[in-house]
Amino acid sequence: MWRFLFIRITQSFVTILVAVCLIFLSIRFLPGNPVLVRFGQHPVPAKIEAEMAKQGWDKPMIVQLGKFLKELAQGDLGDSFERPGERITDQLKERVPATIELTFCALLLAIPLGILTGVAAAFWHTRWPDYAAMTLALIGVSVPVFFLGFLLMNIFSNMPTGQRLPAWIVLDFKTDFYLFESILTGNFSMAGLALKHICLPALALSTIPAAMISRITRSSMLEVLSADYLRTARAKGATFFRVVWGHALPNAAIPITNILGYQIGMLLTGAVLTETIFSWPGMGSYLFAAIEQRDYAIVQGGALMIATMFVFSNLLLDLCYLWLDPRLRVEEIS
Amino acid sequence: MRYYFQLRKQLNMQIRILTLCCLGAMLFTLGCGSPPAPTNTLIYGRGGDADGLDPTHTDIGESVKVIVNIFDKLVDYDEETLDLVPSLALSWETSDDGLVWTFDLREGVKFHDGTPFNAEAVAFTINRIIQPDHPHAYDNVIPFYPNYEGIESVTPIDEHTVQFKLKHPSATFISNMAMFPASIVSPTAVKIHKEHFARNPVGTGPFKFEHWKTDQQLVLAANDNHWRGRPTVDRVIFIPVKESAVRVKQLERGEIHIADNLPPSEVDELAKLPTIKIQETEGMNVGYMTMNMDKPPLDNLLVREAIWHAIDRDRLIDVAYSGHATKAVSMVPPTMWAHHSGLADREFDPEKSKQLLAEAERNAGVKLPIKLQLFVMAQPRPYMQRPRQTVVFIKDSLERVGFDIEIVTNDIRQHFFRMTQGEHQLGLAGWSADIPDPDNFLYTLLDLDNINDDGGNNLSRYRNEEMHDWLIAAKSELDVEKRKQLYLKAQESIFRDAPVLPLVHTKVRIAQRKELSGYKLHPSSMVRLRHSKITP
Amino acid sequence: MNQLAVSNSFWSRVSRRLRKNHAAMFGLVLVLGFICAATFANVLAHYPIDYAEDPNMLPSREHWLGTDSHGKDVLTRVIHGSRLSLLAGTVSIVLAIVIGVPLGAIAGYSGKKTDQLIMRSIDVALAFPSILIALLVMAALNRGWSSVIIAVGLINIPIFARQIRATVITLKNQDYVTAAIASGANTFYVLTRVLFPGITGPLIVLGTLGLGSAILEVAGLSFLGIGGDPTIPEWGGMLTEAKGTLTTTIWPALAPGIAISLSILGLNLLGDGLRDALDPKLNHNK
Repeated sequence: MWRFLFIRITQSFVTILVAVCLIFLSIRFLPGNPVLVRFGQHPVPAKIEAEMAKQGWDKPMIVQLGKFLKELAQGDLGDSFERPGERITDQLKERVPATIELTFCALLLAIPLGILTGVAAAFWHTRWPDYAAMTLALIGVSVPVFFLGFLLMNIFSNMPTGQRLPAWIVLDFKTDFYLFESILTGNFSMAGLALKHICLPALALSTIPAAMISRITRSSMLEVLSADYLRTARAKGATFFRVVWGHALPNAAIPITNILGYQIGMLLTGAVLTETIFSWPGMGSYLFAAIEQRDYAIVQGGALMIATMFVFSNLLLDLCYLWLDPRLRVEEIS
Repeated sequence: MRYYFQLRKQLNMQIRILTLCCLGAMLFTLGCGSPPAPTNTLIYGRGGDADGLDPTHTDIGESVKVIVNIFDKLVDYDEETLDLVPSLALSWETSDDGLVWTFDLREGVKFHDGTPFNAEAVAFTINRIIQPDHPHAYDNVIPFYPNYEGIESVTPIDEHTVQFKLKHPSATFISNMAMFPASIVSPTAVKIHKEHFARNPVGTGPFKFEHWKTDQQLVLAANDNHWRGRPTVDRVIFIPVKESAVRVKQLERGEIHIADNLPPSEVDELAKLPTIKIQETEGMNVGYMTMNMDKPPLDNLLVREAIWHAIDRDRLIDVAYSGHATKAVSMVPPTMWAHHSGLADREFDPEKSKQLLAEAERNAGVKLPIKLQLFVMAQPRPYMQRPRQTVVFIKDSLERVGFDIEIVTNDIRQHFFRMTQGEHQLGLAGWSADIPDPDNFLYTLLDLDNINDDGGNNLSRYRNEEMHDWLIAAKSELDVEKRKQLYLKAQESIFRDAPVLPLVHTKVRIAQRKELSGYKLHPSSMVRLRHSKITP
Repeated sequence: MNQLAVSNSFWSRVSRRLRKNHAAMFGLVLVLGFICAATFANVLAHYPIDYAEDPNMLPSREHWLGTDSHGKDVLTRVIHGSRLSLLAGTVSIVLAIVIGVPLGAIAGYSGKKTDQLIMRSIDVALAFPSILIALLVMAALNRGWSSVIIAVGLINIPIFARQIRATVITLKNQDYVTAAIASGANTFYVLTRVLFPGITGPLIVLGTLGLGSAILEVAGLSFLGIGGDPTIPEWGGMLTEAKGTLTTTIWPALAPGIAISLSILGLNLLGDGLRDALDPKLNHNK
């Protein structure tokens, strides 16, 4: 068990390290001059060279990589190329919470929604709730996030979008988890505002996981509902609710966890599009803008952050999986 | 079976709690009301965020919008016109040879951090721009250095008098002093914050910087001690929202007071709402297509004329600007004093275009169809509000008369960089005036001095020695009428040689809530918010 | 088709099962519909592709879905748009298969170090959101549709490699494969002749579903403004363009959005149906 954990964690770190080095090096092979982002319509050759030297871009690649890793170890990702004086680490502190809140809310919508429709579909198997739920699930995976976001914005045009909180609120929070922080400090009217703003993007982001969860719940419920012990339970007079809640649902937990793990990558990908459409100030839109403007300092820092988030959430899910399914513990040890 | 029961025990509680929490959170959302919005805060919605707020080190429009509210300059534009009026300087005088300018400064003005404003501060500010190794210029990017390189030195005479010495007489010097890079910065603050001054700006302006979260909000507060008096609004919040569709919705819902940089057709629709007011002014800009004369067959006048005749610019204005632009014939916009209104346009005439190409094929051995790359920027600009629509229209038009066009899209900065290197054949470009002077259009965009691989803005690589002499003469000519004659001649020769196809001069339009009054769009497109007032 | 059915009873059973599945048949009709639209775009569409009238017209008898901001007929562009979407999707999936399948097969078949190496590299590739990799590829190459295809192909390689590896590992332990290895067949022979037929089924399913996501990714990239030539109609790009004129007419945005959704829906239904038909014992529902 501990050995497995150790190997798994080491593996995660190595994955991240390799990924970051790859990104770092491949960026340096990209055509085009990276410091130009600053010069715009007024480039001056001597100044461009001075700027390259200042950023250390003129040194051999291996020296640059070494410097980057050294600074990384100290928790410093450097300054943005495009916006002078902007520390990338500070920016990530603002951006990552936005993405985490969005992903969290999307899952908060997706999990209950998916489970409820899945259970309903399984219980009324081959009757209209089943068809309705499965049709919805199909539409959920087929409508692209960007089109859905666009539709939502136009249908619910009285819902606020484009910001995490109303524009007139001066953002003086302690952390950048506006929603979590205001719930925890008991500022419920603020939390309400934050929820209102996160609603549409979270909804757009939640459809694909919701659809996946719904389908997986349905199929594992179908398997379980026909099992012997459930027939026994029902014969003993357990209500439907008790059967589903107490017996069938826990069994569906493992495949759901499995699909969630698979979905996290998709959620982060979806976040790039969702954040861009809804102007959500998270990691996805930050990185997208940086790639567009070739602000490579941000690209390498941001990519590192996303890879870390992805690898560690997968690690976390692996652990959950291990905790949920005792059989695995035995298998992994042997 | 045993395994199953084990599992059930573990999971039951957790799943139940989780589900209940989810349901609780959902119900909670629906039940919440919102606290009332403060009434005296102006919210400005725009398409992007500032990059830095140090006036010396930026040329990004979104930064400038903030900078002009935090800082003052020695001279400024009148509230409504382009006339220059005193600001931090009370008065100024020129020596007879035009080389020495003496400014008499306003007394008793203080920067937001309490530092007194004086001649030293002025010298400090200008020296940061013009001295190559100034100890307090922390950034290599000084976009507007060329505008100020004609300044020899800046000397404080006494506490409230400062003297500028120029290398040669300059007709544009005083206009340059009204431009934002000459905003006077607090020397103390620059020395304290160093390169982070760009995120902690301190000036003397009507608003002081409060805080800035990139891509979320930038907050300014009223400066109680401003020498013009305190602004009416308590706060100004700039919020960046990239999607223009979202900005439209926010304005409709009243979440923001002003939305700028909207697509023209959306502004027309907003104008129909009773709560919305549209402001419009003729912009000092030109959107044009450059034809790189170093790349054959574009060195051939017949080909360039054929391109000119092939494009119906009136229709282009309908398609890409919803009719809100003026057809351009000269590069100098009609709002400017040296605009040449007498040029006879090369009318839209595809047949003529085909004839010219046939002639070029006969005489110069040009092969038809002519394959050309057309460069286009990915992001909209005030002079090119819908680059995608524009480029598609031009491609379709040119392919009808015998061209074969390949579109090359790039991020705006890469786009301009590649074009200054001369990589393009055709390219969409444009210019918004830095200062209201024809020199800023003709010399900057078409003089042979500005051809080089490192940032000359003569993208067409147009070489005209004769015109060069006129433009240089006009630079140091102080008599406006004589200058005008020189610029008119220059415009004629540009029209004759057709190194560029001027497309449009656009109007600058913003949409605002009716609650907001007192803010007027300025012809220089400067966003000065000090008179704005909000009446709920 | 018929010959195949007669000669191969496995495939005939599969096609019979598929025909009984209404949802899959609906998906097939949708997919065929889009293929037809792409093939006969010039006949089906009312207007030539560069024909332009007044911009932003509402639907009328002449223009069933109105015109877009260029003044071009929306229906015509949506029909022509199926060409690029299907082509780009197919080519990028072929690219992903050509590279991903051998990788997965080698990893699954050889096991040990090679497997570890390939799988760890795939882990690294999967550590970034796919769209990010595509964006970086686009930054490296010149913008254009061919770069979009390469980018989308690249991000699909790990998905194919992973799935094929899993299939190969299952197949490797089957008796007929063990027998082939024991009888001294060389690796190449085993991979191409013995294992490959077993991979075809999962590959067809994966290819169909992958085509859906490739179309989505192409549209997504072009929606973000990173497509190729904007005069070539493409659904994602059309949606982006239409955002600027929403308050005037909704159709230029709605039509391409619906087209993307329907094509992906069709491919999903068909893919699910194929999976069920190929392996009726399992009630796959992922």
